[in-house]
Amino acid sequence: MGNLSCPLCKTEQGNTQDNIKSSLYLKAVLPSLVDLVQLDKPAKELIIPANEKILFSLRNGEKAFLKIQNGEITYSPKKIETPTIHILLMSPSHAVQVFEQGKLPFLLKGFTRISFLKKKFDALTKRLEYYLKETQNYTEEEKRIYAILQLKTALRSAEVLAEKEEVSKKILAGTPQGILRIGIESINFESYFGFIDGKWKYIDRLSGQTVSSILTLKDLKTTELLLTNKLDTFAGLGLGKIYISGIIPIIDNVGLVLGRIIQYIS
Amino acid sequence: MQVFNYSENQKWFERATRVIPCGVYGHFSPAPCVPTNAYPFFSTRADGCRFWDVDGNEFIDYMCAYGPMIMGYHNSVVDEAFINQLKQADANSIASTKMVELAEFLVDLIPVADWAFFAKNGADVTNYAVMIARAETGKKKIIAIKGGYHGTAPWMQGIGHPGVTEEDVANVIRIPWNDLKALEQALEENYGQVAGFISSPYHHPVFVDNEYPAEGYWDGVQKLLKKHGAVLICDDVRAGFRLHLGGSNEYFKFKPDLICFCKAIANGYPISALVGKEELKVSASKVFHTGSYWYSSAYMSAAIANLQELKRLNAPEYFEKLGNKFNEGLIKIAKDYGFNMKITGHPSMAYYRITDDPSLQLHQRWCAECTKRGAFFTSHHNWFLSMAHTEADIQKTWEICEEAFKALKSST
Repeated sequence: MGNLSCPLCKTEQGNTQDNIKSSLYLKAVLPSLVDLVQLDKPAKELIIPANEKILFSLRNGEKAFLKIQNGEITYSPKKIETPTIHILLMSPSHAVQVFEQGKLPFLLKGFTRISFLKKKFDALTKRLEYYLKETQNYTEEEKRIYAILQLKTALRSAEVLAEKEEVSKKILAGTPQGILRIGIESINFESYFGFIDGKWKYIDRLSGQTVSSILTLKDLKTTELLLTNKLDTFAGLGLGKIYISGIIPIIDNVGLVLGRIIQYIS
Repeated sequence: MQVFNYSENQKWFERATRVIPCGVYGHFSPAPCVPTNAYPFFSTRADGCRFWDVDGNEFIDYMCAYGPMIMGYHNSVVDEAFINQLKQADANSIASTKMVELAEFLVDLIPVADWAFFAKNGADVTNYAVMIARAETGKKKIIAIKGGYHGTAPWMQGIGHPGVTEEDVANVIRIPWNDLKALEQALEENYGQVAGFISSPYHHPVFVDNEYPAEGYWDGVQKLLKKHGAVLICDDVRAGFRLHLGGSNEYFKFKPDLICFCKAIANGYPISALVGKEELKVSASKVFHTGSYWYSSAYMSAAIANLQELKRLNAPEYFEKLGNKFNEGLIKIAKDYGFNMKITGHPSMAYYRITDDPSLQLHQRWCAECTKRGAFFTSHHNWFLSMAHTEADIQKTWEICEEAFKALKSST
């Protein structure tokens, strides 16, 4: 399996760190494959003929279910159908080794599909790395994909931290409840993160909820600088590269949580 | 009515970003100015209750330097006291007698004060107060109010903020405002460990309505702290000398052990003060706390002159009268245009919010429209009045407010 990790990942720092990291891979990085094949033609072409249901399961823990069919991927955090491939991760630490260091997972089911895993799925995850690792010399279209994938992965990661990480929990406990819209103006992209049903969550599309805060990045360059931690956001506000409105403490505090992702993956 | 252009402000901001983190940092940063293109960032001059930006735009200032400007910019009495002392001596190798005179003045002016100590910024004295509480009690923990602000020292920032460690905030317990049960619970759960309770005299956080103490709140606080041997620190940095010249605690009828003053103490000249009860004077003497400019005597002269003027003119009464008049007019204008303006806090430093949109975006747009027409309003923070604001200024401001409501109405 390709290395799904990003280069700034830290070495193991104990069980809590690994618990959070493994959750980030299962609940934030793997779901990004869904977006990847929607956005990136080479990625989609890799899976067009495939018809697989892959279950990643952490022993006594979380799961990630990927259904690959008709050139699309759907994700679920639980097993929703009988998998064709079942990958067992023995522990959070083992999961981290699998995702970051390419250590072999335990294959419980799908022995006849090893060639798919080694060729197509591996290539797919490498394509994801291409966008989630350090920035490359992207084409204009790839810059758009990079920005969307990075932002969505970050927001999904924020949901994991909101649930699992003590500091993030404390930050969000003191945050006004509401929904933050994050957008990139030049490509008309919007995504959401907010408090719904008693939890802080990534929200792909709103279903009738009202936005309470808005953070808009002017263009892809601004987005890239922000994502690579090279943007002075206060300066960006004054220069009109970033626009905010609504309940600013939500933006501030979600920003603090997003800033913590780098301690686990980046 | 002219809508302002900020082209020179933008040029200066671009220059600033090349050499200064954030361009403009801290509470003057563009972050809470929504939208940023409605706000100026650099001024060229100020006078009375007005300032002018680098584009030549004139503003009636309702932020008053975020509180320090209480007599008005360029107040001749305060400035003269400052300049006269500056000519004699300012920074020096030994203390000035002005320091003694100012301490005597504060001890006479403030009923709970038996002694005074001077520094430069509000955080200098909130930090000192906390250290004194710890020195006096031999305990570590400090109880503070959620949303309360006492400076940017690491212990007073929130967990997760860049540069702040978990250890920095480990000894600070946050409880809700006006919640005696929460205070009692915090004291019981940390029995024998609480050095003090720090709070503003009334709750004036940012982004949310301000709140006065509930009936019996401060009495209850004092009883609980006395029972647990904890020090009561009143952070009067923002409200001090606006509600009552003897400290805002006099307005709300309670007696703190320590009171922190800054903003309005010297009409913009940088000086802060901690005053305290006799019982804490020895502990105060044991805590080593100092700074390069904490003995500058010109600022002390300015403080004496400023406080004398506030006393002579009965400033709190003026603020109450003018503030109430301004607020009543503003509520009516808002209503005439179909909006509900909620005003909380003291009339001299009230917090304003259009309640028709809970996301604050409507209020932000209105404040921006007012600012672009010459009434400098921020949407997140309480505003301030000064002794230089007159009824004519209020009238002019109402006209601006009305134009802004019209603009809001036409765009919604």
